Amino acid sequence: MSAPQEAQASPRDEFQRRGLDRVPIFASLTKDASIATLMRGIEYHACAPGATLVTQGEYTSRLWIVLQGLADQYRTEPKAERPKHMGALQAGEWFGEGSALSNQPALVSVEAKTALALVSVEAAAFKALYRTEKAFAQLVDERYRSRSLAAHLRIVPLFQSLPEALLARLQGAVRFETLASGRVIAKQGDVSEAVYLVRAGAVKCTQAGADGTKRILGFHMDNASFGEASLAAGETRWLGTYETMAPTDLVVIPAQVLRDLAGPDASRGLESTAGLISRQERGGSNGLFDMLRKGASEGLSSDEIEIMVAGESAKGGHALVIDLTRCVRCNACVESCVAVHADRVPRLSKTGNRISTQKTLASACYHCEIPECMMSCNYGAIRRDVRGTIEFVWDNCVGCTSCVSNCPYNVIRMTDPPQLTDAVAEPVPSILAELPLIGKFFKPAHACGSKAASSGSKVHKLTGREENVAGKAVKCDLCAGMPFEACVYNCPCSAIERVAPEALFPTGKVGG
Amino acid sequence: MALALSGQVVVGRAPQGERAYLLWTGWVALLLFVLAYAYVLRKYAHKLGYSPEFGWQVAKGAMESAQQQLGVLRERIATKALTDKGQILAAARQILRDTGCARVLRVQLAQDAGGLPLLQVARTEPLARAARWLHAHVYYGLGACLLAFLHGGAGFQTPMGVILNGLTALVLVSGVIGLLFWLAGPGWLTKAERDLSIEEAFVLDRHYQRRIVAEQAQLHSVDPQLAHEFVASGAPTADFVQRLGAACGGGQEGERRARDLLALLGQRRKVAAELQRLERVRWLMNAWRPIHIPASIALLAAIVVHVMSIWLY
Repeated sequence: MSAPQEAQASPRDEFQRRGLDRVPIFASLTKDASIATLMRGIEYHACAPGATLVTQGEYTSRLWIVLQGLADQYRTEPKAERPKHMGALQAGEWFGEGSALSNQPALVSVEAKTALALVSVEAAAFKALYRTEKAFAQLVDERYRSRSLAAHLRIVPLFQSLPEALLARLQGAVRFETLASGRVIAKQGDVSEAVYLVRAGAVKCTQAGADGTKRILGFHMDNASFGEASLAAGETRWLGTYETMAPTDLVVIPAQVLRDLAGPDASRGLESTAGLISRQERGGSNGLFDMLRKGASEGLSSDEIEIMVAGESAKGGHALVIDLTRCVRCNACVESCVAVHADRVPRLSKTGNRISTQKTLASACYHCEIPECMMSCNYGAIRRDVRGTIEFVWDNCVGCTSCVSNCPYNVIRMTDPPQLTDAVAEPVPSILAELPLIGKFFKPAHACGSKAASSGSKVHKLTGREENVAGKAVKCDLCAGMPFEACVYNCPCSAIERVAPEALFPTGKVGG
Repeated sequence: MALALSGQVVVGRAPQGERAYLLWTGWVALLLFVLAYAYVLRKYAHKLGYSPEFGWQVAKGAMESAQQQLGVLRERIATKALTDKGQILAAARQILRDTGCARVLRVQLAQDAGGLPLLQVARTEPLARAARWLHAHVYYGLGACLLAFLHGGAGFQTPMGVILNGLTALVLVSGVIGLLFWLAGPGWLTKAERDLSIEEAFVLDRHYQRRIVAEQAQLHSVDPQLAHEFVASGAPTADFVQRLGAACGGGQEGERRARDLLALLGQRRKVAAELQRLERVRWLMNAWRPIHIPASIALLAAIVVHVMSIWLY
């Protein structure tokens, strides 16, 4: 009798029955629709003491809330001997909001101190709540300001040596802004009144010359800041125009606040901190983006760099590169890609951005630093795995094609609906699989789409609406779970490779 | 080979005393031929999804769990809690075994800019890349052909000699030419590709073709003769343009549409010509294959017959 009653209970009743209304972060939810969204995107977890929940630098696509128990937060600074304890998380506190909201890697590691009971919310549901519930968003932002902002600011070279007391003052004075792609943040020649920190997204800076030609001065993403150099140089006006290249979250630090922090010798203080800002000192690599930033600082004279800028390659991570002096156009890469996918749809096309006379960036997922597909998905169908690889969650995809239209490289394809039935969901076993003893080795498995998409309608987990699934979006999954990357593994001429951006410029001189 | 060079045995002749030499060269040549043919097996086993590696796939969750645990290990390395390279590798391999990913992932150590051990994860690639198999195929093939020459002495006196030596020579020569063509060919084709790559030209050509077929179907409903002329015509005559304009509704709008259709035809022809030009280069690059592949199959069949006949008679 109880099961049918439970099935009929409204999301709000269920929300209250489970005691979620007493969890501080959820207490502010007022709308029935929001509670319904939350209830569909929620999962419960139990954790033993000592277990690592989140590792610094890795991606998590969920918001985590501690229901019971204690967890410790640790952060390892680049040159530190040991991790620094960043405080404990008690029942009612949460973590992972930065990753879930802004696609940033985790700033801290979280470890269970005692046995933990947790609840997690899918990124898409969390984003929906953040957008629709003002009080909820305010709570998240204030919590970000009080707990995470300090760690965030600390990784910016400008504030690395700032004393704790000054950093605390700074925390209270900054404001947050979220801008859509293509929005101008600051115009060349306008009065500069703030320093900006890019929390998530990407910003490019262009300078118009006297003859009207535009020159790219630089790129800013992933905790990069801009504006301080202008202030340090005593400039009161922006030297270039700053424009968002993707949906971007910014932390805005009013110039006056910085001047107050620097004290009477303001300009010298800013100059010394601004001098810290260089890619070398930041360490690490942001893939193609950093290469382009370096290229921009050296004048972008190389044709390759110019082409990559035009092709928006700045947003990409590691690229799949075809060496045209080796490629005999035998199509083995595409055929082997087809072979490892149940739906027989290749995730790779040999057409792409030709970055030089010898190299082409093949059209296969770049696993972007700024995954516009993921940011545009409202169904939680795209996520990052812990290492940052972009992954499609097959069951959540409703075939809305928003990822297809938002992908800057046109590498996402829709599977053909007429071919997609549950009848072809499982791969057909080979007759060799029937052989005794060795048969198991011939069991065909498929890296992606281990079940093919079903067409028709289904109730979506997050929206609760009946969605008409006209097909599913597919893209390169790096042959997940396989001991090889099929295209690279099967190229007879070693013409195709997934390479780090540095390898694209073997001379080591970008822009030269 | 040393015996042959020292003159102790006569290449290609098989008197009673030289049986051991002939058997050795024969069997080793056969083994090398089989190894060379294994490249084809490896290639098609993958293409058709029958390679044993396909059964080694692990769940994404297991891969992610392994990566997460390796992340914790990396943190221990970064904080110098773990410095011994042997211990690091052992711990990393244990993680891969525990998560069931040892068959698909392997770990190796490098050194980062700060001199700390850098734990890298790569795929196991258990059967090695196709490129290595191709290289091995070339060397095994060359070795097999050399042994076949020592074994048979390039004797063309018997039908079997003609078939085996002829086919061996054909496979060898076509293979060597193929090797040279595959080394130089990509450069030729890349040079020949001006604004369009061969793949782009192919896609564009099919796109125009679909549009022209659709337009032709529309014209057919108005004027079947004109629809036929539409795809068959070379340079359009004034009369043809006039008739096309009339079929498109007449007046200024009809004339504009007729001009668009003619432009579409022109673009299609240009792309088709470009594609044809690039296809010629690609064909030239692969021209050796229609000789090499059938000759290899025939050679394999002839070798089987030769071995069986020696065995039986």
